[in-house]
Amino acid sequence: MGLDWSVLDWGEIGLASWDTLRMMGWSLFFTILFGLPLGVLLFLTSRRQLLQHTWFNRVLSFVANVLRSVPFLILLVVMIPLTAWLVGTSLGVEGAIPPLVVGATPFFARLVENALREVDRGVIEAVQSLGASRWQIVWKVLLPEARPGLLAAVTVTAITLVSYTAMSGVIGGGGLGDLAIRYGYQRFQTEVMIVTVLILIVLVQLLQMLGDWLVARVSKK
Amino acid sequence: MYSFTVAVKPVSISYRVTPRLLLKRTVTHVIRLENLEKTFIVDGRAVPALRGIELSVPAGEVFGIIGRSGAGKSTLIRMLNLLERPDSGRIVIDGQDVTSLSETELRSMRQQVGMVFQHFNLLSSRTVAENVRLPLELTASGSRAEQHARVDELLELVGLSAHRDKYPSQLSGGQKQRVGIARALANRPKLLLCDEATSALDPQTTQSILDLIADINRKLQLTVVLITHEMGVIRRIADRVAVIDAGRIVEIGPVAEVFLHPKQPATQSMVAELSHADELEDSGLLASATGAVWRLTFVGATTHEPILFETAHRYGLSFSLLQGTVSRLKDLPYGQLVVEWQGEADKLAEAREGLMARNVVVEVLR
Repeated sequence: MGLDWSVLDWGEIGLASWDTLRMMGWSLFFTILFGLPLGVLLFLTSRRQLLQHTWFNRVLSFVANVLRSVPFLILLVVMIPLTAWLVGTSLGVEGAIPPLVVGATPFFARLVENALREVDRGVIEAVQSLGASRWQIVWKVLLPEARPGLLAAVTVTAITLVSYTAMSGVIGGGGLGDLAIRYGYQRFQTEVMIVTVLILIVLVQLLQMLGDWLVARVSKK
Repeated sequence: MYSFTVAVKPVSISYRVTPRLLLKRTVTHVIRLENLEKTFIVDGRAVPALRGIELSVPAGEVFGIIGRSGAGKSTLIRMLNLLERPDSGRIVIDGQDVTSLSETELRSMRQQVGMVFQHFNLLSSRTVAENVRLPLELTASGSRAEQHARVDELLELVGLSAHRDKYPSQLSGGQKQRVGIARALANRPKLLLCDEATSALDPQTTQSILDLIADINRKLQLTVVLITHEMGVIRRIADRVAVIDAGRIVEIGPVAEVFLHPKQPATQSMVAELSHADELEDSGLLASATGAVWRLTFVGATTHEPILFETAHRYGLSFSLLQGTVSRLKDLPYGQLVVEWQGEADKLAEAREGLMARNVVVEVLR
């Protein structure tokens, strides 16, 4: 089977790439907005931590686990009514963002929790001995000290979101995934499939490099 | 306004006239612990950590707590700023029972008590200067410029001005501990707690950190409580020492007394490590001795006197030295010698009387 590269519509590919970036950017933004406090809460309420609260922690943890165990494709479909209610449509870039955020937030929150666990207990204790409030400990110690870990968590989440956006093409989410499905899969245009996959690979590589660079920059250990 | 000035003046005058009297009056206890008890539950079993702890530390003192690991000393020092809560008993810091403080009151109490840690516990994401500034940020004390000035002053005090913009990972252990000390002093505490502050450092660095702590104690009139498992640390800077064993204080007193005349087995074994007393047994010198073997202990001015020569000369004895240490306990010179004497029995008895009359403690080992 010969490949005919002339069938590629570069204008559409460019547009789809831009849609993918927008979906990833917005959903990353909201994922951090909701996931960071959630992760901090998960950490603080766990055993032997500042706000230890077994029941609250268990419930939160359970909800996070449930959301994480639902396959993203199922989540996409199940969320259609909620998405339509939230943003007025379940299609396109806007329609893809709510399921992306719901899918990625518990994942990111767990990564945040893990990053905070890496902060030396002794350091927290030292700052407690200086008379810091819990709020000050979170802002002045936990988050700054965990910065490299948090940035790594953002990188991993951003990359996960890229692959999720590709999946949201299945329900008409727009972006590169949508393109790959409509042309590459449904119309048997293998060329489109190859190009979109290549673009996704490049995007993931760039994100990883950017993330690694940022982590190295803030890491003072 | 006018009457206020008048009221103040006589006080400052009386201070200059009778400083001794004033000094006596102001000897207060910064710390008073009453019947502290603490039990940990480990795997469902109750493990007593502290039992019936009673002690007081007067202002300006360097108070050492020594014990083996697991003896409870760490739990004890962490109770002084309530990082650990006692099950029962009272902890009075600066006249205030801290176990009944509210959250906010506890925080302001902690700002008055500095703490230095074995593993330094510096924030890796902050520079030296930023680490030292942290306590000032927490209490929001002073303007930014005032905070900067205070940080400079503290870095000067601990000798780290040249390293102010480095990160902890770029410092040596000793330098990190200096940052820890500067941070602990930032809010001008009355009390400094040192939790094994030198245990992670090499001997030479330990020395310099101990010198720094002693210096701060003198300069800032700061009360220091330190815990350690090394007798050498106690010997170098402590005024008084408590020996803790299996959660109890087994011996407490001035360092010279506890160190030179340990009464409890726990103390004796710790002192032995430093004074090499056990080596005497091992060497066989004691077993093969034919004369009278005495351990002579003396402190202060006696250390500089030729007591051995004079005793031998006056009572017609000869002697050989089996073991000996002449050193200092903080600022107090002392000596501890194991001497084998050859001579007539009555002369030996006289010599012993003579030595005791010169404030030498004589223990007959053989």
